[in-house]
Amino acid sequence: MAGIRTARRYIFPAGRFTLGMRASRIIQHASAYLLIAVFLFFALLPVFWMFSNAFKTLEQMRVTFPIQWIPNPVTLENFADGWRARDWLLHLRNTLMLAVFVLIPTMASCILAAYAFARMRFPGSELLMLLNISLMLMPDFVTMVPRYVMMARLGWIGTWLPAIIPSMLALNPAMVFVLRQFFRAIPNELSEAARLDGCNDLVILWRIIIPLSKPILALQIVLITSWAWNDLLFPLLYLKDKSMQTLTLAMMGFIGTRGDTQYGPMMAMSVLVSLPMMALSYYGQRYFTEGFTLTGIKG
Amino acid sequence: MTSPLLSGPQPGLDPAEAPGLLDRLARGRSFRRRMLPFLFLLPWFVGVLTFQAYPILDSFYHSFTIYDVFQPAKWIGVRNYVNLAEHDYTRKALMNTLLYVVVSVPGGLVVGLLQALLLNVKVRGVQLFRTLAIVPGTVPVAGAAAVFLFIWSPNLGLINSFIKALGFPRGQAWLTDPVMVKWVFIFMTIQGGIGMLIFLAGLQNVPQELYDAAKIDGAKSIQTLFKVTLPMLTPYTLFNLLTSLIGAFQMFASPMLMTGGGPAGGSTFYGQLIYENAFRYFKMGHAAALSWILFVISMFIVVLLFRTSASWVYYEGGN
Repeated sequence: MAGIRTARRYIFPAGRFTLGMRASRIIQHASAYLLIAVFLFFALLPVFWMFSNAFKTLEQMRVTFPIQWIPNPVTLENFADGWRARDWLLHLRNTLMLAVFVLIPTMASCILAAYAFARMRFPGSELLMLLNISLMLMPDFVTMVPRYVMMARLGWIGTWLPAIIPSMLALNPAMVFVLRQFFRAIPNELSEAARLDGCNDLVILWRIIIPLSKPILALQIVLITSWAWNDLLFPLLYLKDKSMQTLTLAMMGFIGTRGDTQYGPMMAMSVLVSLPMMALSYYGQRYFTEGFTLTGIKG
Repeated sequence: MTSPLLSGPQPGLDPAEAPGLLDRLARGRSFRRRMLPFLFLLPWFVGVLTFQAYPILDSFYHSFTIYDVFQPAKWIGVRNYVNLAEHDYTRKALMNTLLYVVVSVPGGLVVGLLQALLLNVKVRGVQLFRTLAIVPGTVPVAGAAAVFLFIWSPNLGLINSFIKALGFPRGQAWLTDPVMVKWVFIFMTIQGGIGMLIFLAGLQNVPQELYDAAKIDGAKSIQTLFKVTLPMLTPYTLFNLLTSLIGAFQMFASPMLMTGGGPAGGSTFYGQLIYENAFRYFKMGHAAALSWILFVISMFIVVLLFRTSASWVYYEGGN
């Protein structure tokens, strides 16, 4: 580096040239900062507006021009009002239950399938993996109606079984694929050594593969929890009963019954519903990058 | 401890039989070893058969019938498919979807790419900007729907405040206007950008040597962008394009939460159309036909993905 710098000074001895270079660099950086600022302003505006208006009084919210950026005075009335409208703790519990009921069986069955795809040889494995990748891209809407009819025939509507039973059947091709990519990257020497010591595949999976796959498994926990927090289709079909509604469905009812004058409580509840998910995503972001760089997107 | 046992004759075993027995044992073990992967995959197989393959075949059959779950299905040939084009409300929703897919997918990809390019500039604090840029995507759909309902509100909304601030006296109705409403959804998708994180990951993978070489050759930054960066990003662009195409057909939660598909079907898109036909009007035949069309579209995209996968392998380098 130092050599290059000396060489440059030797080739371009005039001070003016370096000054011009520096000036153009400053302009470049300044314009980059400006563009980033504009982009971040518009991207973060809705989030900021949600937080700001959760603390505004109705009178202040009515003033649309000039724009009231900061709530003044600050009120907590919106939170109290929104909180009273529904049994939010029940909906939170249902959301977490949905996440757990889907997560544990899905993970167990997908780990088994991914292990077979990644570390075992059997005829047709490539072809079945291609099938799995095709299923990754299949919209839920394609199979939605027959699945519902099937569950209704079995008498499962109004129970948690539609969440639990399909999850036991590795019905998450994306998870199978991502785990398989990750398992494949774990060095073979470890499992071969264990095999010589007399360990079978289940022991290798439990003692070697799973402990080494913690980042990708953490990512799956984040993704499934975020699914339970966001999905509307599944609760709309299977968790319609008031005692089983998740936060998304509860918010849908809450928004639907509120008029133009009640954006305050709506924003307050949005803040409460969003904060845990934002925190979890922030925590999971590092696993996302890690998992993504390690597995790639190649088939 | 075991040596006396091993050295003595095994109980009940004729030494002459030993090789055959060992052979049979070994064969049994190798059979079990060969079956083990399929045992591990058993849940996956059952899942694919019962919850993927069967529903697809079932909707294929029912797409040629009138079916309301309560009575047995009645064969009517391709009438469901013809009805989709003729029925006014359905045609409107299909046109909405087509418009949404054709406009918001390319638009969102361009914006996502620009965002990624912007966050790839090497300036101080860029790590913080990246973290901030991810924040809007972490807001759950229910919260985002409420906020956007508020922001686009005709009376109290921020958008109309901006319009007033720019000097136009009258705001727009936005979400309560049957024509405007779909453009609001299209605008929101484009503005949010599609695939920023994946583009950003792709940008990290462009080798620095290529930029250095371009610099030595005296390329302007705009030339570097079009001759180096964008070509190197094509695998990621393709991946984003195909996944966002599928995603566009699945847009469901935000219109359901914000407008319920209204007003006058102005924001009814594909997913809601299937949902309503099946569970509101009990036209299972219609829903099945729609599901099948979507299945064919997604299969088409899958085939495209595999056909183009030669270009995926290339950027991975080793492995």
